[in-house]
Amino acid sequence: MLFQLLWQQWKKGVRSPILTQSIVQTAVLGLFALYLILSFLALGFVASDILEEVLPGADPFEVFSGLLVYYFFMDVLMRFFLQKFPSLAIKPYLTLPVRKGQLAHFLLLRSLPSFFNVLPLFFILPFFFRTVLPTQSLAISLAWLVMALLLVLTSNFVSYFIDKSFGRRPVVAAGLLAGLVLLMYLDFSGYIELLALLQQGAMWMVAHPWGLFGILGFIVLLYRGLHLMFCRQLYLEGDGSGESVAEVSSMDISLFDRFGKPGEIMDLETKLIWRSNRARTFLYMSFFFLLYPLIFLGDDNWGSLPFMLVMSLLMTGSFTLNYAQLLLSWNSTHFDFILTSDLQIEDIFKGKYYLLIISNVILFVLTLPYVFVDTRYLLTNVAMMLFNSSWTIYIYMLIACYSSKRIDPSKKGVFNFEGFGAAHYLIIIPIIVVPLLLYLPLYMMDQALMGVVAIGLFGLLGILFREYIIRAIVGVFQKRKHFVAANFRKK
Amino acid sequence: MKEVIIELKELKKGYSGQLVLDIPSMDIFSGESLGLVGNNGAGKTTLFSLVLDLIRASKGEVLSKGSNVAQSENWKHYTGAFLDESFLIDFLTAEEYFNFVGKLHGWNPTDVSNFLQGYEEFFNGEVLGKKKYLRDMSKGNQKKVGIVAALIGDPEIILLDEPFANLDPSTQIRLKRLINDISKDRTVLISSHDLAHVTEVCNRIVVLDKGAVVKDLETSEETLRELESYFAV
Repeated sequence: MLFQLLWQQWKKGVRSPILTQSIVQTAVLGLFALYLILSFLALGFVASDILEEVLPGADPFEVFSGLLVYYFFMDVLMRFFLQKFPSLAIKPYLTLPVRKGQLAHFLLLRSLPSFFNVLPLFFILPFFFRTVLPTQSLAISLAWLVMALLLVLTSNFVSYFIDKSFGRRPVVAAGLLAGLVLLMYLDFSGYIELLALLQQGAMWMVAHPWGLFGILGFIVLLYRGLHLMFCRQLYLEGDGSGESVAEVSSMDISLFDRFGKPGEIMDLETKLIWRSNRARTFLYMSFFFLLYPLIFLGDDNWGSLPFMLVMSLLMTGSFTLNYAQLLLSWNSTHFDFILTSDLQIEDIFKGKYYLLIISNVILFVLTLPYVFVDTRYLLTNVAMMLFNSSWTIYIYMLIACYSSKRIDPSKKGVFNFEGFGAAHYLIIIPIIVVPLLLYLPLYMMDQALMGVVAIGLFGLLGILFREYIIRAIVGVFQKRKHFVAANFRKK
Repeated sequence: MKEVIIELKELKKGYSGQLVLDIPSMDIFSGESLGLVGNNGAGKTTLFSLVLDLIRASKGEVLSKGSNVAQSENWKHYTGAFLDESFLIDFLTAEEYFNFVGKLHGWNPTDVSNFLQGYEEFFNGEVLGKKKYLRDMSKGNQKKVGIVAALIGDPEIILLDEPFANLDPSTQIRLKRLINDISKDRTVLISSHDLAHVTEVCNRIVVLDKGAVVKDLETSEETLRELESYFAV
């Protein structure tokens, strides 16, 4: 029976619409996975050389073992945000003659074939074959391998346990983060020698293999605990995910009344952003983008204008660049209503336009501190904010007329590619290239700053002519709307 | 003399060569309550979607008050519709949704809540003040919300697709009363599989079969029996 259930899950994966729908999307995802796998493979393979170079005198085997345990602390956090644990998968089986205990086992085992469990193997195994096996005795090597694999399982079930008992509430996330930060703080400030402790622990474990039964026991305990929990929760109302319908309060404050009918769309969209997982994630993410230039701190290009232009583009437009990719798809679940209600199509586009501009302005204000880093940032940020507030949005509006798919905005936001097509990946090229093309001729005439001004003026031009441009785009949409609406009805 | 409010002209809709709707000519008069009946695939929802310009006609046109619905957006001011859950904004609460629709018609929240008072019996205490998003409501309650929202803004034309399906018996009876009530001074188009209900609330019944109008009846004592014998297998 259990085998049957798992076999059906395999079929579900193979027949998943993601694999059959979009080749580009699968390719991009596949390349990303391949990149991660290759980096990890390489890391596992050369880890001992790196460690020898960084820490001469230390035993790479011992240091790596300590780091390995350290990795799983991060791993739990990463899984908390990214790994999707099975819960709804059992719905169709509830009324079939399958024992609940079996279904609970199924739910638990179903979590194992996950990207997050496979990924660590890609650096554990190369390190094992390259470094552990040749330098250590067979008994120690095997004990080490078993320990590493048990750690993967521990991480999986600990994350599963956190997910199912506490849910993905922000409080839990904050708690986990705070715990990790505290641990790192204690480590850095020297109160505890975390890495050394973990290293000693790992070495002790390898030398006393019966200690591995301790880890195994812990895993079994977690497994039994989860199994018990699932057996009690296998009802549709608590579909195993521990979520229930929370009471919500109506918020009927109109923020954008003065915009008229476009303002209604803006109010609606604001609620959408706040109440749908995916849009909310986009909102949070746009604040992280503000830190983007810091990644390149110390880089040679740091002070170059083209670099700053690209940074300004990404910072002031981070919400627009993400949110506008699904400009109309956000409304795909109620699009027939949008089309038949007492609204002109122009109001819809204008509402979205103004809302995105507001996001650009807010992000622009937040980027102001970069002036202390380099005063030229003020200029590039203004220029790019203007560019983003016109042409970037127009481009996405046009794309929305041609390539819009139905999405479920309440699904999670990270690693969710629903609604994206090839156009969404390619469009970033003109958005980056066009401003640089405006900049280039003036740069070659030794008027680099004037080049930045040119971008700003071009953006301003787009804003001044917004009525005409939006009307033109609405004209395009009117011809395409039946196509878009039909796409949105395809589930 | 009755005035034509919706006019179908040479209306054809086909998908990859297969005709799913073919109505050479049909007039719907102001104040009429028209019931569409027909088996699955007869073209009822297709017809509604064409009247609401949700799908493009392969041929012909729908005129609402004389202007083509695919070219002018004027019909939106005086038309209310609820076809399916894609008319609901699922991340809003019922009150927010009603207020939103109200605002689009220029109603303020007080207008909306006065209006809603008249529907408290219809809601049966299961819709208002529930502190739930529409996506978390039952299908039946979602339907109640959709139907009442379609009436906001005093529309002259109301389209309801299968309004009786998914509703409990008491609500079905209340809905019949409601439709009889609103159809006194408005044009109502409903589709239904329930022949008894539809003959009770409509004064004109159109039977569709494979996209064609096969019967167009003024409702009388005989109509229900005639329909029953038509659909008998």
